[in-house]
Amino acid sequence: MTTTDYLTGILQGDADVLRHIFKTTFPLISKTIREQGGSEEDARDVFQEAIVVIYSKAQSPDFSIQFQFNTYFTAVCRNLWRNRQTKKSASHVTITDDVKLLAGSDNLELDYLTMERQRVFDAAFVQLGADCQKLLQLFFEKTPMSEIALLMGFASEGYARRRKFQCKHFLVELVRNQPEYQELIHE
Amino acid sequence: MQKQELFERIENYLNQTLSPEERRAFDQELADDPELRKAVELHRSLHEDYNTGRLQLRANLRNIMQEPLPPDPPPAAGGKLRWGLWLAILGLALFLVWRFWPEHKIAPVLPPAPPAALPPTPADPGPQKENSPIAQVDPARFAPNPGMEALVKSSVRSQSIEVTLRKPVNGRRFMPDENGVVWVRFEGSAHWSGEMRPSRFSVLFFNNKNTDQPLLEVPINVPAAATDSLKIGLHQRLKFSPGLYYFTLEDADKGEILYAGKLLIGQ
Repeated sequence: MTTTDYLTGILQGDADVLRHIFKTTFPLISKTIREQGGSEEDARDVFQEAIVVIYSKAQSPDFSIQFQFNTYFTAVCRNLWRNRQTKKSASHVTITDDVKLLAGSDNLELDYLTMERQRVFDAAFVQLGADCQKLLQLFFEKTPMSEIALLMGFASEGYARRRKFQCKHFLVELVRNQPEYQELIHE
Repeated sequence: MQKQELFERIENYLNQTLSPEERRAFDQELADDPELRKAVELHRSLHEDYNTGRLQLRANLRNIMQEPLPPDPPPAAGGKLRWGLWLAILGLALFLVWRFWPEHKIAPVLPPAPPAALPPTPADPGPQKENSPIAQVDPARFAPNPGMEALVKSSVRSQSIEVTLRKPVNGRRFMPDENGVVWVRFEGSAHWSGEMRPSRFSVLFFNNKNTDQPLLEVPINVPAAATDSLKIGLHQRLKFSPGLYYFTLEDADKGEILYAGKLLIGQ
């Protein structure tokens, strides 16, 4: 599998590619993190965040990896784990020179706050019911309320607005109640 | 109802669909009310952070990460033992082939090599015992060792420390002086990241037959100032019988092989 195959697979959420990455890299990542005082759960979080980081980066057409994907990926995991341990209060995730070299780019500073905020958002969003998720997806994608009412089978646009408010209110409360969000807004 | 109206005002503000008067009034409220500013920022980030692809990716990952995994990789120290075991098996197999091959049955069997030399320090390498008299040059001493050859050819050995050696050039032949001594220069660099900093490297030398027991081990200490890299510069005196020799550069803390190479001494 080439590096392009990996990146395309991540961008498309291809289950086979993600499974391959998980099975070939996670045992080593998990072992490394556990040896450094982390848990299996920490390792899973780091693995998932590393995939999401690469997903975000791979959306830029300039992004490329000049080395083997697995080498790059484990380096990203190492960096995320190190940053999580030492720099929770810092505003940026430091990407060390080894990862810059592996990525073939110096422009790899990740906005730590954005990354953490997205993590909080995603964790809250999946706690919503399926209907609320669907409705808010349409709303965030700027679908007109009249069309949302039609697609969701609501009786009126007014009811669609009320349901949208309720769902968004749930989401706001879920986000606000996460400890990570409290840490973020106090930074 | 009041909260729903507030949500819609914030959304209209963020979507820039308020009239100029409404927008000025809202800006004034924002300036006066820190709680409203927080609420607007939260709504702004909700709209910015929503990404269907990312959410779908996380959902896929959650499912995949529940699947069973292969067992843990063996510990780093075990890696060396495993290599040793494989090399021992290969060595035994090679010996049996050599011993029972018809061509070799009539060849004289050489006496076994004396014990390996003790490791000297790099500053004072000290005299090394020869592993057999120089005069007795045996072609078998130049026979490649399959296990070590495979190790020399493989390029990636460590996920945490990257070693590059410019010298000695792999497979270079060194001619001993009248005392049977060669000087071999090792030049290159090792790079690692943060917490992976090793405290010491070792260069181990093996002959082509016994790759379990090094003939010589030379420590290279990593100074405290070397936080993420080390320039390797070692001028090593060797007094070995003519033959094929292998060397490995290892992370002495973990026993992990970082680099493997070979050199020839004499004709």
